[in-house]
Amino acid sequence: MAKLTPSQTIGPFFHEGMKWAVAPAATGTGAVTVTGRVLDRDGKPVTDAVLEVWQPGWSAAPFQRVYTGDAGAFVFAMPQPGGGQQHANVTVFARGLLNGLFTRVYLHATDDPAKVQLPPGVPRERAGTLIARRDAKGAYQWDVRLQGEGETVFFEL
Amino acid sequence: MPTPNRLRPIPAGVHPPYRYPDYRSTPERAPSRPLVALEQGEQELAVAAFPRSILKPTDADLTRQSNGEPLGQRIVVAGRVIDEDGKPVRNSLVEVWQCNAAGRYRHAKDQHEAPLDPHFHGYGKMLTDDAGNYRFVSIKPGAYPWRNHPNAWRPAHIHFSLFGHAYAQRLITQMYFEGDPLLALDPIYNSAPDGARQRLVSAFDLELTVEGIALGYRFDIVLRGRDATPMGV
Repeated sequence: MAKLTPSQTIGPFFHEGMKWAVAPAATGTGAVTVTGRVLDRDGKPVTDAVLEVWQPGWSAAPFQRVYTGDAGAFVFAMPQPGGGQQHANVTVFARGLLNGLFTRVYLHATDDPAKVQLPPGVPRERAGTLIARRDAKGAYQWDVRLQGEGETVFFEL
Repeated sequence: MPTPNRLRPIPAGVHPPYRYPDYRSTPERAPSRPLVALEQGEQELAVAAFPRSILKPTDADLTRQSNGEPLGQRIVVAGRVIDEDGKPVRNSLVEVWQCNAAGRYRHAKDQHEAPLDPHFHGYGKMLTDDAGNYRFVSIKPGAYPWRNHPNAWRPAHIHFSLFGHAYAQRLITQMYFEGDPLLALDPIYNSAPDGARQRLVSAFDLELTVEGIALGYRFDIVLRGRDATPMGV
């Protein structure tokens, strides 16, 4: 059997080469924005990360690539959760990450995190790290905490 | 549409650990909790399909992205993207980026006091062909200093981003050059386990050399292969 190629960090200088696929978050009927920040162990913003948001069933934006800026902030779009819930697969790459990270973000319409169905194996006390909070205007907020207090759940696929 | 097969688990001894203190950016960024196993479903096996229309003619020739010739040693880099079973990963996106011959990236945050080359941008992309092959023309990237530890230098390398045919195959890595004395000293290269990291080193290949024009380097890439059993069976 052929042996797998190992991962290496994306490094700090990927922006120019990967930006052809970066686009403003989709807007319009049925779309909501998810904004957030990528934070390190000390709560410092990670200013050189790239997130890729995969929603193969959403024709408006099946694949989105977004960069974090100087505040570690990002924004992308997801479909309105409607009466139920929506989730997207999200990868995180950054300088200092020798392997990419796989996570998910869940949107819910009820504002009741206990009602969100999460994959088995997600520890209950960490479930909140996968669930975006809805603000008064109907936009969603979700941070990625790489390490430490409130560390985001990352998956092994 | 046929049901895709799941990808096999990744064996030990392939990827670097998240935390590797010799690479000084890892201690505050590496996750400290164990990864949570997620069963692969259709979403994890979904393809990000990129049409040929995203490719510009100069995307696979980094020496022709400006109205002049870049400085440095011209090279051809080529190889196959296959899976663990040796099957070609066809029509899949490969992105590359690198510094110029002097060791400087065209990037606002690269502070290395080496010259920019007005004729070299340093990034490209291609789709693999029906046999999983890719090929691009570039110039040999220089080594450059970084502030990881005293007198630290990155070995010459080219960054690769691969999509494969499934979300769970996504891989970002770096390709190095045979015989580079900096490899033994580089914490990023050495973060990958011994026996695996050597697969990141491209081989000089006379067959790929274009006589009178460019030296050739071969770099094959292996992505996760599929289980024998289709999903849901």
